[in-house]
Amino acid sequence: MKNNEKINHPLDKILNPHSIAFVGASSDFSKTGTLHLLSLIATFKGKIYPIHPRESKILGLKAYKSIKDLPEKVDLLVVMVPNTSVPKLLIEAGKKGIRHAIIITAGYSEMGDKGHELQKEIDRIASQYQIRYLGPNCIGGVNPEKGLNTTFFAIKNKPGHLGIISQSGSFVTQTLHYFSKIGLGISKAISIGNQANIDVVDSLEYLGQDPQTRAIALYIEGIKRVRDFLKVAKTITPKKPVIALYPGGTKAGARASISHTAALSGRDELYDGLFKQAGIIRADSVIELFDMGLVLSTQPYLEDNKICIITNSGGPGACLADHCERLGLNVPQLSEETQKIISKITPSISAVKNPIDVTMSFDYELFMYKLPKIIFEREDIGGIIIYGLFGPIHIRDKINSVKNKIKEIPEQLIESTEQYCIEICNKLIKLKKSINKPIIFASLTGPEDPPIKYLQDNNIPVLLGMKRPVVCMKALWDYRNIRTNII
Amino acid sequence: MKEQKILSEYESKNILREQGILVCKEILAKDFTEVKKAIKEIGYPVVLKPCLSGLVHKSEHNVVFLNVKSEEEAENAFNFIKDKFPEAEILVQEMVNNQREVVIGFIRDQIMGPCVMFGLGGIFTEILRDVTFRLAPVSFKEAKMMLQDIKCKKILENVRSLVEVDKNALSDIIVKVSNLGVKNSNIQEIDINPICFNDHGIPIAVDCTVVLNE
Repeated sequence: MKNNEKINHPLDKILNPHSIAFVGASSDFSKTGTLHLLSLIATFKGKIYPIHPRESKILGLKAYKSIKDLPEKVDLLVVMVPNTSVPKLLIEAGKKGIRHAIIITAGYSEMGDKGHELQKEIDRIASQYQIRYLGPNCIGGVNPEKGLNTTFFAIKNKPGHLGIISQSGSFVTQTLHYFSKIGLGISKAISIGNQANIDVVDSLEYLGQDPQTRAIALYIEGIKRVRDFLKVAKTITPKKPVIALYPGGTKAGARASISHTAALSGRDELYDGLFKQAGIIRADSVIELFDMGLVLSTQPYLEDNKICIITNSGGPGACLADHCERLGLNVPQLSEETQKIISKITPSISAVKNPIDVTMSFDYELFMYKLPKIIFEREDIGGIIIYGLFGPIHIRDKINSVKNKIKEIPEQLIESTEQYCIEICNKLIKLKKSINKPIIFASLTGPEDPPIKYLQDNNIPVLLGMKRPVVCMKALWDYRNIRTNII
Repeated sequence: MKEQKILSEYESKNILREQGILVCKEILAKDFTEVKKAIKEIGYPVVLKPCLSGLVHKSEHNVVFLNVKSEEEAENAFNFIKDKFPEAEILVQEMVNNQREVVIGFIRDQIMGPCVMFGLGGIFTEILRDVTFRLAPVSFKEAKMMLQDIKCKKILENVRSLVEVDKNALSDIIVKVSNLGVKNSNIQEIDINPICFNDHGIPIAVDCTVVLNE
């Protein structure tokens, strides 16, 4: 199946349509089909043709009675009707010349014998008319660049460079809001569902070729074409990082076994081996999957595991250093010479060895620009983790809390803080571009604080807590090792 | 479920020997006269254990006699084994330094197909679970990377008074086992446990079980 489709990949057609026919929406807002169509209307730039046997207008769009009434042979058919109605629809689509579909409808091979029979029927029709489709039992696809979103939730963040392939529809759609909170932009998101026609291997192959996709995040519950998966993944991982979350069970040794090898070969162990062999980085949780996805799709690669930590606070610095050491990253003492230079420009009680702690200073230019510049110029450091940016929301909270008691409090401080922070952010963004080494911020504040959002929008990840930034720095190091080992 | 046949240790090792995998010196003996002859050839100290098709995890039956140094000890061991497993033959082996034990295994998984394993060996393999798998066949480079993929990887180095193990030779066994399993679809499982190391760090297969699908 599916070989040599380098330029002409079915997923490329499915995710870049110019026209879509949507079956399963109506004017009834309590129906999920309608809500899916709303997502599509919100952002899609091409033509949308709702199909409905009775309604002539749906959500402001002219509706068509059937597929054969459509004014054109659409690029993509999206199906959300009951499972038993799908075969008839597919035949109509096939006759119309439609070759690509997303079947969101559930109730096939995951539903016992009757579902299996239905699946077989669909397979037969699809092969007769050469229809390639995603699903069934999926949530469809998202391509923010083209405004394509066949899922339930709305796209919130701007397009980016992480490609997502998920066996769970939830991680393709319910995550769309969450991505805006960590500043993650995606290139494509593919919900593969039952993988009856297009599977995880096809999807991986496609995102491997997709120029918008710089890193790939996989959510996998089980792979059918394991050998093909390994083969395809091996060709991608030297060029693009691939991260996988596999929650496939920890019940190792459950099988009846004679040998030690059999007793030890649980699903989890075998998948772990498969990922390592393929050069795939394994994430421990959904949060970690997308953290790593964010960092690996936006940061330059880490070429040295020596990390410098810059903070204005002792505790966060100690935690960051501790996480680094535990994960195998190095936090080396800076050279005497560099320490001397730093001492001259930092408050007298600062720690200057690494972690650098400038102690409760809000001189952002110092620790977000001058110090990183000195470190990158003078030291053999692979990447920097910074903690301590507190933007205008903290000033605003403070002012609001005392406004009633102190009349003369200068409210313009909120605005000037924001201006100052953004100015320094710009200096750092420029520095990072010229140095081309990863910088990650650790923070206890999210994008509700404007300078944090500004950094996130400009490819400097800001992650909550002290561990998440370090885990991602480690992922960058792991990927460096994968690249150098495989190539 | 297919019928399975568990090969005896000696039969299992014949398969390894055919692949050119270094196996400890050993002679199969039917009676005590043959045991004595075998000991003469191998030289003390020796290991005595029963050799019987279907017998696995021998140490759980207390029938593996290590470091046998005299004819008297050998006779006691022989009698004990024969008492417990009258139909068994006796395998007389050289005593290999067992300070370091690793395991190399093969499994034909229903979903993943042939897979190869490397890890920390010995009787606590399943408790310590310090092992790593790959889909078979593996390249030599992949096999070498497996050596770096266990927590106890440092035992392969020059530690305490021990020499660094021959990692190329060890990786070579992984490759051979992985190929063996891939090429012979009747092989269901292979367990080489332990693999020990001689004074030069060369890996030697000390015990092995092969399970066939009939």
